[in-house]
Amino acid sequence: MSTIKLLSSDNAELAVDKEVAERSILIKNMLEDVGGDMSDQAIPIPNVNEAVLRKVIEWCEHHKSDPPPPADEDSDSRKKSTDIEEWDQKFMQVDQEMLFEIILAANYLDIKPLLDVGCKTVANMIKGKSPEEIRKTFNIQNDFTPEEEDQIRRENEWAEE
Amino acid sequence: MSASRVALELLALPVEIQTEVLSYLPSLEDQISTSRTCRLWEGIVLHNKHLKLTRYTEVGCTSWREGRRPHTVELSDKVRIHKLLRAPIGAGWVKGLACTFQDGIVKEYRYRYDYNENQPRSAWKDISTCKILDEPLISPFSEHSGVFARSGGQNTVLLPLLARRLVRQRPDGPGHYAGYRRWDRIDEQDDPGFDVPDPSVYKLWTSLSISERPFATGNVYEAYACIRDRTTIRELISEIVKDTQLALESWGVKTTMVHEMFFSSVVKEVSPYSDHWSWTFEATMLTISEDLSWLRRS
Repeated sequence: MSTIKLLSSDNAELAVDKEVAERSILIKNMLEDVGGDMSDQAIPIPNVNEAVLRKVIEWCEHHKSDPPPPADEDSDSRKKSTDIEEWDQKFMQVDQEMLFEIILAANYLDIKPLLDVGCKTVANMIKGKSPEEIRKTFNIQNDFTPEEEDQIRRENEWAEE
Repeated sequence: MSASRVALELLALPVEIQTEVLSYLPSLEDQISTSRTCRLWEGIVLHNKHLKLTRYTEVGCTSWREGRRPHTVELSDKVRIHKLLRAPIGAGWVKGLACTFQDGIVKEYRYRYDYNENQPRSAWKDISTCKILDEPLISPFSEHSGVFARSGGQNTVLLPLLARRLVRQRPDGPGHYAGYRRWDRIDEQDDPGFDVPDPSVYKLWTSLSISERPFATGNVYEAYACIRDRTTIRELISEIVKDTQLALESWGVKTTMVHEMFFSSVVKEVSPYSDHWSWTFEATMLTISEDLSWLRRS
């Protein structure tokens, strides 16, 4: 099995099986463009640092034999379940910053199933929370007007029981 | 990508990714919460088509009068209505939309997430400024032109209303009133006794008559509602409240008191004996004490 090298944004060179790296559609297309022979040259991944890239490779490693995701013709009708398989749940038990970095990397590298898992993980962190709890969880600024603030205040009053 | 960089936060992700995250939260409860979190999310929740579609559902169907018997009927029209006014059948008025009002004006719109007898009243959330209330009652995506054409061709649906007011005692204090309102959409040939108002008058409430027929220990009155195809939930509720004010006055109820009204499902009732069907929308009205303080205790 052939191995390729990836160069992270902080100049770390990581060797990875070609099959594993090709979970990334970006890398897959890149390798096809150059005729598949990148054995002596590292592919630069300028948007992803080493720690994040290692996480992403770990995910691709585990999911290398997954069937390709179904063609996403009609994303509106796609079932929006937030179920996440156990291995992925454990994999996503990272701090928020790493979680968002993984999501950004999956988006950049075009790894749709990983992007989905990331988005579902964030969605599960939002589920069932009040606006104020969501803001606290994600450090979101409340940018509604004072009149609307009044509502939030009353909301909290109700929640104090 | 240096250590000095500001920590990456959710709102710093591309809007498409935030949209993707929010699209995994189709429940109305979560949509209310996320739309109240910040302006960006409010915009996403209100305008994302996938989420917008999830806020409308088919009109529920029950067997007419016989009640319990499950009755599956292919709906002849494809009207979809807003989930805010479509509590699950059986949940009654204990889950879903409610409002408090005083002197004919809505003070607060509230939504109850889950029903649990032991839950404190804090389970109700004030959603008065939630813009989901400003969405049309009837889905702009549903093929409803036929329905509107049937009732006068003025893009108006008549929702005849039967309202009932009950008088009950609160277990722990002064009496309160419970009103029971019931709207039936009845085809023109049905019940010719009804005095159907002119639907071309673009008002939600076009007639109100008080009946002396007793119902339990309360009163019954009948009225009609005209709903235009773009009538929003907020418009509908505030018109119901205005109308209710008239009824309360005629019943001699002190209207400076805060009243509460709960809205239950719009359901389609189908007669087991004929092709007759009607829409029903029920509201329960409670008159409560001068202030809401007892509400805030569990």
